[in-house]
Amino acid sequence: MSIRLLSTPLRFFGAHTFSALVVFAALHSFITPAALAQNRVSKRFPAGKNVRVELKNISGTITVESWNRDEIKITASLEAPTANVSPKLVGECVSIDVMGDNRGRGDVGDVNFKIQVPQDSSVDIETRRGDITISNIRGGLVRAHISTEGDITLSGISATQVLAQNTIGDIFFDGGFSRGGTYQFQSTKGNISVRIPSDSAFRLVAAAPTRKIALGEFWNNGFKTLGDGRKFVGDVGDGRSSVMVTTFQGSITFLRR
Amino acid sequence: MTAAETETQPVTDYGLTQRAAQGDMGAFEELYQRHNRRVYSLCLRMMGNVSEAEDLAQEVFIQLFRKIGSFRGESAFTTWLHRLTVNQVLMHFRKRGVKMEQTTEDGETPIQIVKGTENPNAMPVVDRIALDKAISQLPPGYRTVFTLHDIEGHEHEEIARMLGCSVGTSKSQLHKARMKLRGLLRQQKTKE
Amino acid sequence: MNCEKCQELISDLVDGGLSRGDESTLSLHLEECLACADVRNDLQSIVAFCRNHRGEYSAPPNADALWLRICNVIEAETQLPARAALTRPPAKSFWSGWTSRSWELSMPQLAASAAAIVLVVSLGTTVGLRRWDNARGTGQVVSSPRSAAATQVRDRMWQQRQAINYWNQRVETNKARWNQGMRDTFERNLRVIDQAVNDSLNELNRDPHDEVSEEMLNAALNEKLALLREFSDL
Repeated sequence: MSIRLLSTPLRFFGAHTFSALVVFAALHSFITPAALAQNRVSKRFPAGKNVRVELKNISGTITVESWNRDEIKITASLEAPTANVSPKLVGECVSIDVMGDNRGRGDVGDVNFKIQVPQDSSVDIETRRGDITISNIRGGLVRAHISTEGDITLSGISATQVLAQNTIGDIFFDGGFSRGGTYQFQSTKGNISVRIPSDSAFRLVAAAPTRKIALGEFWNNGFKTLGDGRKFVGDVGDGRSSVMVTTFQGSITFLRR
Repeated sequence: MTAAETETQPVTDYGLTQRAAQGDMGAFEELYQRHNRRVYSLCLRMMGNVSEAEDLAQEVFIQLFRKIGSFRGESAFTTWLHRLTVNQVLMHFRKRGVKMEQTTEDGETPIQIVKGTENPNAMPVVDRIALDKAISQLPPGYRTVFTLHDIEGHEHEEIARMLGCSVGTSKSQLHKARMKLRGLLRQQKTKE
Repeated sequence: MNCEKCQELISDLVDGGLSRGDESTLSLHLEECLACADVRNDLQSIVAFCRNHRGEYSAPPNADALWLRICNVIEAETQLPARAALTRPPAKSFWSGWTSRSWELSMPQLAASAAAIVLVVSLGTTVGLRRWDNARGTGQVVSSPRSAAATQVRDRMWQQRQAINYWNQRVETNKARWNQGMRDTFERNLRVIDQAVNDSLNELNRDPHDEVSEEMLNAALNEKLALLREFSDL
């Protein structure tokens, strides 16, 4: 059957295509068991202004990005053993509680999320393990919390409150600080990079026992150095927002945007 | 007062606050022992989450220690502590970007009007576990008003003062919260 | 009266806040409309249940651990001397607690513990010498700032240990359910945090007044507590 079916496209696509199809068929036969073990869930919710998304995941990668639609789309790919995932809309908050929905199960597979939200949403993401990437969000809150290991990448963020915390993994923030906003970045073993516009104004408390704190052009003589270079406290500009950066076994780097 | 007298005579909450204000951690601990359940329960009902309720109860007692010198005994200590707790929870909501007015004016969850014999499932007999679970699923604005009115027994006028909204808003929030809760309790039954 | 208007007024009816006129109009509708009567009955049960159970409180999962956390923060803020009033066992229980506990230590944890013991012993020696010096100089034993710093570190370690023990027990009961990958991740991250605790303790060993190390120690211990708490839910 396959020979007859393949012989027709051969005439149209040539020998290279045939080889590609053979490779594809071979690969497909290997991939199928894994693919069967993976489920995909997708759900959309209408979103008003200042909507909030809360996710409590156990393990897996999480990507949150903004789009130009007044709705939230959640796509989750579930690895075996499949976790229960049931996004809910409660008031103005879309909540996905993988932790709560699978409490007591312990052994559930990774759930990888892609979440698309309106730009002015608040995003509160928490997971036990896995990378978190959040981009182009301008809501009130952006929180990324990894209990153990995983990198946190926050880009194009201009929320008034940003919290990023992990144990092992790097944290990268690229965005702006709002007047009166609070920004906290903390890692136990990871490098923290903060990329902000050169005219940013904030009060900084930065601590790294490794003494690897590079403030670049944001350094000024008003900074107080404590603990022999392990901690810096000082104002940049009029100190209108509050920034706290802590890493125990890593470096802190401030970069101009 | 001798140590023996201190042990035998029950000290009032006000007396303990006076001693705690002088830095007596023993007195402050006694206050904690007397009131931690009350504070934690209120936080739990308003937050709907054990970990957050614990963190907030911790913050309430830290605030209590900071402010204890300002308690003059003009009202009952429990009333004062209750207000402190509610304020702390509301402040937490504000910090987390939960806007109470969001669920009052714009974007509120519309109430499902029940018509005819639309839902054949009778609501299950209310029990503590089911109710707590349903309360935790309410939007923060609804949960706050429901907790303050139906669970804690505050009047709408007091709630309006605490939340900085009108009495009408408090009433309408409460009604919506109850209707939502009813729906959630019915859903729970359907799932079973 | 239609169902929509009726259901708007049901809460007021349940709370006894309706005028007589509204109440009688509503009652007429409720006699005819089963759906609205159902709503009224349901809301009445909810409200009655809440009223009847008013004043019933649940205890926090671990009131003692919560109290210790509160004390930690208050102490850090006020820098009060060691609180005699705290419900803390005497020195003998403290040491017996450390020694009799069934420790299951990995190598880095063992190293961290060893460092803590070295710290306490060396602080004890320093404190002893200082007290002896003071007593020689003034004719009386004076509590030095160094001894206060040492006591504070020891107090904090003791308090945190209580809380850590509690959450550790909760984690241990759940751990068997996790998959191997999650267990490895948890252990690996716990070791990293223990290393941070250890590093801060070493710095404090060198200088008991080092505020930065004290802050880092607090932050690392809080990190450990948070990790245990978060995994106790899994």
